Amino acid sequence: MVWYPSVIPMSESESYSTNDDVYEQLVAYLDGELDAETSQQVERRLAENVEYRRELQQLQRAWDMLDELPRAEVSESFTQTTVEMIALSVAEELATVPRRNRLRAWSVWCAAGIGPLLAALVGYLAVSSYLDRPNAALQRDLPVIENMDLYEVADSIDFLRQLEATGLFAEESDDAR
Amino acid sequence: MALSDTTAQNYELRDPDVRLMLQVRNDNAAAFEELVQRYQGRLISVLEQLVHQRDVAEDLAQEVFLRVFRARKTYEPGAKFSTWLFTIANNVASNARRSLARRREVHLIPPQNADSQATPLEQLALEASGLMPTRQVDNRERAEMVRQAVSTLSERQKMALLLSKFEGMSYAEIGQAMGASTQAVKSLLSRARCNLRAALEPYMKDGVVPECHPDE
Repeated sequence: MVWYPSVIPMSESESYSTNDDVYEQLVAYLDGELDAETSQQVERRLAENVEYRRELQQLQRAWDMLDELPRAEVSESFTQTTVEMIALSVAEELATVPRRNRLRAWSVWCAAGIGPLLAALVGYLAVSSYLDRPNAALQRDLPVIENMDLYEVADSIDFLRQLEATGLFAEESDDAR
Repeated sequence: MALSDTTAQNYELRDPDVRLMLQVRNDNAAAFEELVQRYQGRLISVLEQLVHQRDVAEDLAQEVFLRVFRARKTYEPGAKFSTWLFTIANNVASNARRSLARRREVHLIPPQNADSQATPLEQLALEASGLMPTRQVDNRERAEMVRQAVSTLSERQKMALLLSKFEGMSYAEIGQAMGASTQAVKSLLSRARCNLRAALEPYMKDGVVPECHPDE
């Protein structure tokens, strides 16, 4: 929140919408931040409006009072301490750099070592899976292959299934176990 | 955003401190020491107004210089050196204020006396004047009144005001240092100066502490 010293009465020709604008213009004028045309407007207003002029003077006086604030006097030792502190900090920083570099190198080597190992494992699994595929088929078809002579005697699979359903092969199955 | 070569060259030509900083970028320790000497007082003065403690202000100033040194390799002159330095100082001070406020080690805003309606400034005036009807305020008292008047401003108002007054920065430079638009700085400074004027009004009229009426 801002405390405005007073509401400055404006003439009819003046076009400020709020007190904010009035003080912003005044302060910017004091700070030399207005363009030439706006500065002239402010100066005309100052010439015409006593209250406006009084506000400007008060703002300027408060500004000048800031000169009363003590400026810091810094000893030689402060400069020395600052530079030494920074040198120490940089030295510590440099000391940690090799360690950081070692960690980074270790990570790179790990990544470089593990990567090919993983690739080799995946390759091995893929190849062995591919090579095992014909053997798996042979294993699955082994009972048929073993009894190929018998199957050739039979005319159809449906007929054999009907015979099996009657329990004709039960004894042979038990023998097979 | 990358700086144009022309901008960098302009600042290098116009600002001797930019040239020093470019030497620091090339690991010139003497140039860095020179910058510390040139800016330590200005920096501590501003920081002390912000944190109200000299030793804290000195610590923060060292932190600012440390950051300057650490940033040397990436330094590009995109502003006056002082603007760049106070941008860092503004960040360091903001972080410190948050941290200090959390730890409650420092009263960033002087506590109001709950038993009295008087503001700290008025209390100070009463203490200074004692029972004397009116008397001239000495330099030390006046400095303390101004310090207290400044302490009534918000942190951003205070920073903008100090950069304007003691660093002579333009609105655009203050905006750069504080990460604000020029219009925002205009508004901030207007409010700061109105508040300051209001806080100091009782002491501006004749340069005297008003008459004390202890029974009132």
